[in-house]
Amino acid sequence: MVFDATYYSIPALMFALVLFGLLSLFHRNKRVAFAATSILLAGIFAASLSNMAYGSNALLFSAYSISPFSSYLLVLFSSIFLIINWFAYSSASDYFKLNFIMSVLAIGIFTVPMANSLITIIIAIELMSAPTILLIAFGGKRYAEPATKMFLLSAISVSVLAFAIALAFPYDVTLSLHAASTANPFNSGYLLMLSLGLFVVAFGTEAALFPFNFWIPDVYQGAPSHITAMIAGLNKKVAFIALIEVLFTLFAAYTGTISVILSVVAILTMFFGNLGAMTQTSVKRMFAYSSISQAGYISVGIAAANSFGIEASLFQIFAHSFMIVGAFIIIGLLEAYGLATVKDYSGLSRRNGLAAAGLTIIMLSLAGIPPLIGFVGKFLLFSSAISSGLIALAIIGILNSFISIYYYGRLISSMYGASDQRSIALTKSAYFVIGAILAVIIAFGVYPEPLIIAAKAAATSLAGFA
Amino acid sequence: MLPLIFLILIVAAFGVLAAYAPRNYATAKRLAIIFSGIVLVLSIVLVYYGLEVHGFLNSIESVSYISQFGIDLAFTAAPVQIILILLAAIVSLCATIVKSSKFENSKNLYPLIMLFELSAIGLFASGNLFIFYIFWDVGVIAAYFMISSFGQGQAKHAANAYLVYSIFASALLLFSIMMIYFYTPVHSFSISYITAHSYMIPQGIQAMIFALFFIAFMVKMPIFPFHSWISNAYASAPTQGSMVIAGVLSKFGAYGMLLLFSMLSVSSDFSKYAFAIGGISAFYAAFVAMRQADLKKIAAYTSMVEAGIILIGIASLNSFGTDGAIYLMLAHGLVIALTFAIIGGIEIAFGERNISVLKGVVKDAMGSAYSFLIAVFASTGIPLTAGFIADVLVFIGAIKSFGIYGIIPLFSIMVVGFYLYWVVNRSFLSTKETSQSISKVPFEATAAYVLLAASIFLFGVFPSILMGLFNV
Repeated sequence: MVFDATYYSIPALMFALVLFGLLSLFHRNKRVAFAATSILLAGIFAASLSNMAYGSNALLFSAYSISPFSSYLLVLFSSIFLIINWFAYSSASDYFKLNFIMSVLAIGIFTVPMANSLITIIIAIELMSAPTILLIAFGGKRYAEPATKMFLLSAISVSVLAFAIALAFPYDVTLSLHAASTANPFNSGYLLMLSLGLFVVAFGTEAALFPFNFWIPDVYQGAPSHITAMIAGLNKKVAFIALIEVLFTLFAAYTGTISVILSVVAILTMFFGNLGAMTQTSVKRMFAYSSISQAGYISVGIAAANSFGIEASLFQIFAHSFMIVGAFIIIGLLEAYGLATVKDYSGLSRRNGLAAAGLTIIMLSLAGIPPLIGFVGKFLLFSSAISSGLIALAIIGILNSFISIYYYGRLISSMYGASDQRSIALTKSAYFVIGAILAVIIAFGVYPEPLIIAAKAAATSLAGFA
Repeated sequence: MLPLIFLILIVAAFGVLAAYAPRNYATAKRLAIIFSGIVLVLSIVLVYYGLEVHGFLNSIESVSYISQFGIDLAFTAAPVQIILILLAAIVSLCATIVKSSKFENSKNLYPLIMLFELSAIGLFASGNLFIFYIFWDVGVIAAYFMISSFGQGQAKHAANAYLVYSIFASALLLFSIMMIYFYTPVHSFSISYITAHSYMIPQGIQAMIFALFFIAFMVKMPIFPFHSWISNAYASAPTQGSMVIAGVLSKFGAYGMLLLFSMLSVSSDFSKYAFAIGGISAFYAAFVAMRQADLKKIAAYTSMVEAGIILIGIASLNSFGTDGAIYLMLAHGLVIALTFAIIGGIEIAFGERNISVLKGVVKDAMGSAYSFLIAVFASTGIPLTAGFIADVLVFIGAIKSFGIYGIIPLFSIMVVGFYLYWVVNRSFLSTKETSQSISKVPFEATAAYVLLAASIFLFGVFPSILMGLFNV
């Protein structure tokens, strides 16, 4: 293996991230900590972007694999993390404390797409979920309840994951994802199927799949907004990535089973999310349910169980990360002005034009209206379902997009009503970040070609598909 | 050769930005008029190119868009497309010119009109179904915001009803487009490819796709029984919104219907049912129109009668019927835009649009009254107006395909025409008792009347300008 600086720069930058996080605990300077974290994250972003552009393939320390798959996701996760980092910096008073925990969490998040063995995955997932609980709990006494919920959930998820790995062990003694996919030594056995099911349960709990997602609305609503944005935009997506990695390497021979399980889960998740969202009065809670329904759409691609389906899922993971983070940032900024329910939002367009327009564009995109990124994602997902013969799944998916218009439309028409409240001023940097997110949503909606090519390269590089 | 359609779309796109940028109402409106004026000029150049420049007609302008699915940003300049682009350009220009009765805070209406114009031209010119769908939804959403943000009365309620129907149609459309893509032998969205190879799609699948498309387009045209959104949507929308929704958005459905019948080989099996549905819809709308007192609702149901006649023309599946349907789309688009412009003007002048209250409009607003008479002439197909040419062609086509039954729907036009003349006589021309005007009809409205009425006569007296496109 040839030593290549760009490959090793990624673990090096991740290490530096934790180091600077630790330092910031001591010197307690918000601005320096923010700048250092941002620069390091930008470094990871740039290195991954170059890896993605060159289609690099490498195995580092026989544990981290650099592939178009991991590069694509590192680009996504590092850019989302940059946004979350800014949001935490601008809204949390004890940022230097958050900074350290977030940098630890970042290691977990960045490791999952690069993971090469089941052990790496379980450690990375643990590294991601434990700090999340801390981040929620830091907010003070009133965050004890969501933190406890999150803790119980993570504990269950990790133990189920450990059990699933144990069940798969006899069939894959190296615990390596790479070896398993190439050797494919399996005989069909109920233990193996049980293992598959438990993997779906373990990752599905974090990824908000029905019926393991009842915690989502409470935690999303209860947690501070920057943490909600992080859970929705990163933690959930990481769980999906882990699920895709395991299913299509370790269980690549069982696409039929995967298709059946995920189809059922996808249908139930979509309906649960969309029907749940219809009756919500709290905007934050409505978006929590909306994010559940989006998890259902992402599973449609996994249920398609072919290269096209993975591509569609990866595209939608990218799209939804930006959309939901943008939504929770706007909601979080408005929370400071006491806006919480759909009623509070009435006349928002008169009080702050950009917040209303931004939220409208994000919601139209979530509902799958062209020419926005969410439309392309849904188009790919439902096409992939039809291409693998799951026509009923595609119909139900499209029907669900139709349902979702109802609650998005309700909020939109409320925002464009009359208002006599005083206007809301946001900081310049807030305008910049919201503008950047909207630019991604619109640009990749109008011209999705580069992102589709990247997602396709990522999907085909994932072992199991030629 | 100049990529003329791209040029038009780019100008319209800049128009959206230009109309959005200024802070005050007057500048936004002025910029919108300028940009939609340029679009109209370019559309006229498009007609000229089609008639005179050899090899321009049916040429394809395309750039690669999403290569994995073979989707190109492809636009075709065929005769039908050129005629409909011209319609969209004229109606949008008039919509930017007229004044609505509620113009406080309506600055953002102008970018929406420009966005709608962009989507309409893109949709009519699109060479593949993917692009078609994208422009379709952009138009639908732009119209939704016109109703919900700038409408009067029960606007929110009307906008939501409109949105539910539209998204339902969009969902069906999206699903059928995906189905067509995966069932064509070489997966393709290209309209010309699908037209040539549709016979290779299994009959059962084709029938299903046909039905889904048909319902989606019925919602937009609108055709009974998917019409219940129109009366409220048209009545609540601002004048400009009513003009573009009735004049152009309803043509999305009609144009889609035309594509559908020419695209799928199975459509000849369904043409007689489509004829029956169109006829029933026309009669239904004609009788419902007679029960209305609100001028906007009368106009809404009149336009639904015409939608039924358009469907009959398309379902005839011969060149008379199809050409007639296309010409009727043009004629009706102009007429209904004129009608709504007049109703908007009258509403400003008299503060009223209910015919039981409105009397003797001719005394205080002569221009509006006579323009309304012209609109009624054109919509009932009096010679020298564009409506006459269209009706003659449609019914020749219908008789050729469906025998003597083909003539029956003509009576629906007579029924609604009878009522319209009664309305004109009672509320507009008779001066036995007159309503008192509260202000003058604004100059902008008159300008729009003149432009639209002139187009109606132009295409009525010289149909060869546009029909010539079919014989180049």
